[in-house]
Amino acid sequence: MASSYILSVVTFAYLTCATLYLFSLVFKKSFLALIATVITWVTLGGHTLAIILRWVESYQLGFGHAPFSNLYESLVFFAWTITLVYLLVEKKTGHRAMGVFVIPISFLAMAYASFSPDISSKIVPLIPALKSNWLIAHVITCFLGYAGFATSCGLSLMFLLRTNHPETGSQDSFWVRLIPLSQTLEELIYQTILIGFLFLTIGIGTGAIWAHTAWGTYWSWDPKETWSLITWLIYAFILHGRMARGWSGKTMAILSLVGFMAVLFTYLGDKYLVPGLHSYGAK
Amino acid sequence: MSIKKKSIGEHVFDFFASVRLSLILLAGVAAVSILGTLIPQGEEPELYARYLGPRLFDIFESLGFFDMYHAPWFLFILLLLALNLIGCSLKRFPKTMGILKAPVRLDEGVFKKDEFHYQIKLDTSFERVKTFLTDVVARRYPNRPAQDDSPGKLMLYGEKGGLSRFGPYIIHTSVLLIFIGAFIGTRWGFEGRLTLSEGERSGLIHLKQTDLPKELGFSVRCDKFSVSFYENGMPKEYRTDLSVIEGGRVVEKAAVRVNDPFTYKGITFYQSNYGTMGDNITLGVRPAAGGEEKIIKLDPHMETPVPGVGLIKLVNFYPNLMKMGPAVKLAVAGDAEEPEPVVLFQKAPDFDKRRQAKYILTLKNFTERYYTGLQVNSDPGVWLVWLGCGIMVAGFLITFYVSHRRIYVLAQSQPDGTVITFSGRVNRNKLAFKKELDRLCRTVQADLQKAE
Repeated sequence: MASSYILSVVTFAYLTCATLYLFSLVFKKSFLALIATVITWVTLGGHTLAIILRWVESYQLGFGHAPFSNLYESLVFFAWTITLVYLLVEKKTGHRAMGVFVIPISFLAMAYASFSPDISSKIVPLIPALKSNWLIAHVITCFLGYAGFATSCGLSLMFLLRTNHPETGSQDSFWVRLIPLSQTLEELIYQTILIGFLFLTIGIGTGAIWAHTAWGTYWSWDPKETWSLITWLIYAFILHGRMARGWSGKTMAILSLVGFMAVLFTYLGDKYLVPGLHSYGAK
Repeated sequence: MSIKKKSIGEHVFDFFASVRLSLILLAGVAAVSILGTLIPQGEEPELYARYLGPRLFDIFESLGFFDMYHAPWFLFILLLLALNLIGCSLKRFPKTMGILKAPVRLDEGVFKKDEFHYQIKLDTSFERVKTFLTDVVARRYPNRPAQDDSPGKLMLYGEKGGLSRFGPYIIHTSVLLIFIGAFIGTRWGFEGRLTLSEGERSGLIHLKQTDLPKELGFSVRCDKFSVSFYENGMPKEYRTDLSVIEGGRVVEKAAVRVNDPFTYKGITFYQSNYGTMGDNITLGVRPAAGGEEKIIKLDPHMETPVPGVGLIKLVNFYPNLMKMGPAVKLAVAGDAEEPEPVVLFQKAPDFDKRRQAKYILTLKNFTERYYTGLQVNSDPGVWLVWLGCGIMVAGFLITFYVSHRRIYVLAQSQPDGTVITFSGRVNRNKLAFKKELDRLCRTVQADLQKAE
C-alpha cells in the first residue's frame, strides 16, 4: 500500500528533523533549524497525504472508514497532531529550537506504530460498535488534546532546562535567539495546556455521547474513561493554581510533565495494564 | 479600629469558598480515581477474597473499595466539590461585578502603573490626533467609553471582552448541571435487560443493579434478529427488528442496531448482545433395561412432565458445546430432592448411559433460533448532562479566548507636535494583548503620518 510506504518514509523524516533541530542547538547554527522547519513542514504534508491515502485505500477494500480506528492509526494521527500543533506554535512565536523537545515525540509515536510487533498496520473493517460519527469526532478531538499536552510537555522540559541555564545577557546571543525567554515559555506552556484542556474536554464529551448511543451509558468508569478524567483533573488543578493562586512557571512546568504522564497512561495504560472497553480492537 | 470577629457561618462559607479546598478536592478525586483503576471494580467478591485474604478483604469491603465510584464517601467528595464550586463563585461574583461596573477613573495616575505602557511622539497637530484617536478607540474598544477633554489634553477610555470575566462562573455552572443531570439519571432513571427470541414478545425487563423485574407499560416484540459479516469474518452489523405493542396493537416498528438505538416514550432500546437458542426441541426417552423409545416435545419455557422420569426443564441450549456439536443442558426433577443436571449431545446418543439412570435421554431434534439481548434504559437527566457539556465548552472559549481588554489613551499637545500615551490592562492572554497594543501603536503612528 502506498500509504504504508509514505508513512515509513515519514517516520525517518521525523528522525531527521529532530536530529537537525538538535544539531542546530548543539552547533549553534540557526540555518540548520531553518532547514529542520522546512523539512518538518514537508514531512507533515507527506504525513497528511498518507492519512488521506489510507482513508481512500480503506474504501478500495470495500469497507471504507476514517483512519482513526485502531492503535496503529491512532499513533499515526497522534504524531500528526503533535507536529501540526508544534509547527503552528513555532510559526506564531518564531522560536525554532522548541522542535528539539517536541518533534522527537512525533518520531517516537511513528516509530512505535511502525516497529512494535504487537501493533498491526493492516486496514481492517470496523466492528459495529465503532461505526459512529461521534467516534470520529471523539478520536480527533482527543488527539488534538493529547497533542496540546505533548507540546506543553516539550516546552516545560525546555523551560526547566532554561531556568537551570544562566540567562545570557545579550539579546543577540544564540541561546536567546533560538529559545524563547522564560516568560514567553511560561505563557506558551499555559496556552498549549489550554488547547489540550479544551480539546480533551470536547473529546471526553463526544466520547460520552458515543458511549451513550452505543451502550446506553455516558459514563461507566471504565479504566480509560477514568484515566481521561484523572488527566482532566490534573490539568484543571494546574489551571486553577495558575489562575487563582498565581503559580510560577516552574510549578506549572513540573505539573505539566506530571500531566503528560497521565496523558500517556490514558492513551496506552489500558492496553498494557488495565484492559477495558477501549482496548483497541481487543473487545 | 475594631477587628470584626467572624461568625461561624462566615467561617463555614470561607472554608467552602477557598481555592485551596478546590485544589485539594481536585487532587483528591484524581487520587481516588487512580486507586479505583488499580483495584478492579465490580468483580465477584470471591475473586477479591482470594487475592486479598480475609482481613484486607473485610477492610476493603467496609470502605466500599470494590465499588468505589458509588461509595457514599466518594459521593460525599463530589458533593463537597459542588459546594466548593458554588462557594467560590458566590464569593467572587461581587468582585467581578465590581470590576465590570466600577466607574471609569480618568486621571494621569492611571498611565503610570500599568504593565502595558507605550508612548509615541508625532509631529501631527493635537486636533488631528484627537479626532483620529477618538474614532479609533471607539471602534476598537467600544464598551463603556469615557472621555476627558481639557485644552491641549485628551484622555480616552474604552474596553471590550468584559464577558470573559463571567467565563469561570459559566464553567462552574456547567459542572453543576452535569452533576444534577447525573443525579437525576441515577435517582429516577433505570438500566435493564431484555432478552427476546425471534417472535417473542415481552413488556417486562430485568433491572441491572437489583435484577428485579420491571413493567415497561407497553410491550415489544422481536420480529427478526440478523447479523451480517464482512468477508474476513468480522461482524458487520447486528440488527433487531422490533414492534412496539400497546393496547393490543402494533403502534410502532423500528430497527435497533449497535450505535443506533430506538426510543419509545422515554425508554431507549440498545442492541447489546445476541445468541442462538433451541426451539422445538424433541427428546428421546427409553428405559435403560431396553424397550421402545418414546419421543417427547420439550417446552422451552416450562417444565415438561415426562412419565417415568419426572419434570424436565431446559436450562440451556448450546449450538456447539465443547466443539461436539449441538447440546442441551436440562434439569431433571425425579425422585431425588434436588433436580439433577443432565447434558445431552445430539451427536452422542449414548452419552446419557453413563448416568446409569433407569432411562436414557437423547437429544433428537431442534430448530435453532436467534435471540437478541437488548439494553433497556431510561435516563431523564441525560439532556442536562449534554447541556452542561455544551455550556462548559462555551465557557472555556469565553474564559480562555476572550479577554477583558481595557485601554487608556492620553494625548498631550506639545509645541512641536503631540505625545500619545497608551496604557492597557488585561485579565489574561498578556502576550496576545501586548501584540495587539504593538499593532495599535504602529497603526496609529502610520495612519497619522500618512495623513500628513
